[in-house]
Amino acid sequence: MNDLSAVFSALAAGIILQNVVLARAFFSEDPNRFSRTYRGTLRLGLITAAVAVLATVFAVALRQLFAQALLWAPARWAAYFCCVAVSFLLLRPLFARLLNGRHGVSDKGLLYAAFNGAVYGIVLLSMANYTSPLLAIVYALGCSIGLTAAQLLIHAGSERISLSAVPRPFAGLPILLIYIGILSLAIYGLVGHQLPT
Amino acid sequence: MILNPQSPPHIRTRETNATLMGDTIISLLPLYAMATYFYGGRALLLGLTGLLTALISDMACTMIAGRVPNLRDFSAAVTGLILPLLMPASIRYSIVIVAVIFAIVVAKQPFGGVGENIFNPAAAGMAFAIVCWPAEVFTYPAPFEKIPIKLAADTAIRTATSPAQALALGGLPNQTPLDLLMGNVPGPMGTTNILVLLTCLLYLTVRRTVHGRATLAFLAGGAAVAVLFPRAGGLAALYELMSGMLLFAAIYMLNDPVTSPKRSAPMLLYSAMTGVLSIMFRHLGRYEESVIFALLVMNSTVWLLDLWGERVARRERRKAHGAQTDPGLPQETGVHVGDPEE
Amino acid sequence: MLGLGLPFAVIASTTLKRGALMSALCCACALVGFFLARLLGRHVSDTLRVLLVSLGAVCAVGGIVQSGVFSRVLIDGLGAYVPLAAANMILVSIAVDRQEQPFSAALRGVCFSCIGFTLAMCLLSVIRELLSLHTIWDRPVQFSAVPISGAALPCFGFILLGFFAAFGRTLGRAHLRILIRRTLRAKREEKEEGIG
Repeated sequence: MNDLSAVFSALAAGIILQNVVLARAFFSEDPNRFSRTYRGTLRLGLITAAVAVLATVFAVALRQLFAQALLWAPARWAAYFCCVAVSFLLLRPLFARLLNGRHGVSDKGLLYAAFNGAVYGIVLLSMANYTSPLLAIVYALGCSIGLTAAQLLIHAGSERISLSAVPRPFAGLPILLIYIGILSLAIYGLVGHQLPT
Repeated sequence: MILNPQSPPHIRTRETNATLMGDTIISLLPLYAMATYFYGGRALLLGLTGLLTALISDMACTMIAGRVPNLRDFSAAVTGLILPLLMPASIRYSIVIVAVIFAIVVAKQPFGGVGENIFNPAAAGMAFAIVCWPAEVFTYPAPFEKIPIKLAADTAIRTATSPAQALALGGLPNQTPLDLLMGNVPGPMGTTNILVLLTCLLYLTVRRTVHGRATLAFLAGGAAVAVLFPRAGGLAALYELMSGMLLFAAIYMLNDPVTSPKRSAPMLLYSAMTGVLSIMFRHLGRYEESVIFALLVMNSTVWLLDLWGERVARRERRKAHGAQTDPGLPQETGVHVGDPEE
Repeated sequence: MLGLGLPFAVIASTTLKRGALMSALCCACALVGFFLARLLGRHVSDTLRVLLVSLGAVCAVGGIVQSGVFSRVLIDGLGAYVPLAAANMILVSIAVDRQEQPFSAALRGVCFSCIGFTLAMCLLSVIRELLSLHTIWDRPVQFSAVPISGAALPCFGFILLGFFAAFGRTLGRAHLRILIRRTLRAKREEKEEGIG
């Protein structure tokens, strides 16, 4: 029962807590650049989630095998990044189906979805917060789910904003940053201020 | 395309922004009267400070944007009057000013001004104040503690634990439900007198400024969570609904016509979910009063709810039209100009 | 506007020292990534180039941390944000998009972007530190405004950045209007001289 509650709390923590930081600004650069539909955003989220979870699995395995070597921070950072890279290369053939069609993701979108701070951050935080392999993977899964949900919310927000008479200086990225800021403020009321370290 | 010919004008209601906001302002006056009764003239002065700050910042932003200020737009005034009511009577004037400026300059004007904002400005301003000054915002003077208009740093004020704080600590409040009904409890200066709030709700519902059903759905959602997961024994669920800013938010912020869904089904779902989230945030969140944050989160989902509501309404119209037409004739999609919402 | 694509730098830059550190890390990653991308050129696919550029940036961050240029306390305070500076969309853009441009133009673009990013990040962190802690570079400053502890929060950083971006856009538009007016005036004067 204790193990089950530990798993559940790791999942909930991933979905809710860390996405205050990780998800808020993902795609803040230009959210409509890579997905103009909700399904497209969902596909991007799926890609991000798959890469993040598989990368965490590899990172967990690496930590089990090379615990001593990974005590040195730069080695740890490079090793975890390699896990992200390897998981992307392994999953890339499977993503080919998601690249086509009206809701498809472009090749560049694929690269942006995999090699961004959110995916790398999920791996780093999972490994930093949990020593148990199962909890680290569950936490990464939770972070990925929360990240996808946040991306959908941000996509909905940007769609709503595009219909508003936003003043010209604020049109586009500035108003989206303000939207993300107020949304973060709202979620802050639940989780508080935790700079993940 | 089938048109339903009607003679102009096609606007079926006399309601305007001015009348809606005017009704809201009228309903806020009794709350200020009660706050003045409990805490002295400072309550009124805080309200005036909020009002003036809101009007000046709204006008300044409008003029910077190159638009002519609309003197019949009372939305900024409503924001400026609501915010001080969510705060204790001992709050600093500067905090009220900053919160109102945040509400207007960050949460309202950049999105396009009145009618275009996504988040309720008062809720955003209050959330900002809670996050920046939690100790001051959640320190409540005891009722009938007359607070001087100018509060020096070393002035001692008798403070007391609000019902929401008592519930957050895992116990039941010292006050009875009758005390909560009469407002004889510490708390935000405009949200403690449940009887006056219910009267205001009745007034606004009769005037059709707010949807009574939406408020009921909000309370039902909150009650469900409070009953299923009580924080204390006895009448904890009742105290949950009567304490803090819950009822005030259900009346004045949940029913904001700009930031709430347009159709009734999404509106009911939105209200119920906000109620559920409010109590959940109280249980799990870091502040004893979380309805503001729950409201902001749900504001961000209103667009999705509206899209869903439109889809449902379209399906219903097609079904109704399909039932009326002769199966032998070619099917046409009916469009009713001036189709009422309900 | 390079910094607008680096949200983690915005979140972490709550004081001027942190802002300067994040700027230094991000600029180092951008420059290392640029040179590595040019070295690899078209000999490898886009995917492999992005991979190698990002890995090079991670190693660059590790090198900067190990060199001891920045205080250990500051780096430990930032925690996971230090390596995150190396995984961002700007590097992907450098590895993929800027391959088409000539070397000097691309290098100039990256350098100016780094300068702009550093200025923006430092300005943002100064404002946040001043409003929340009433200090600049950890030194107390006489500031009579009410302290806003929320200025150190990520949400405030994004909101402030949004306003910066809007202000920058207004300035840019105003500058463009001045240039257009000058050009039109010069053409009008030329025409008048020609007719005269």
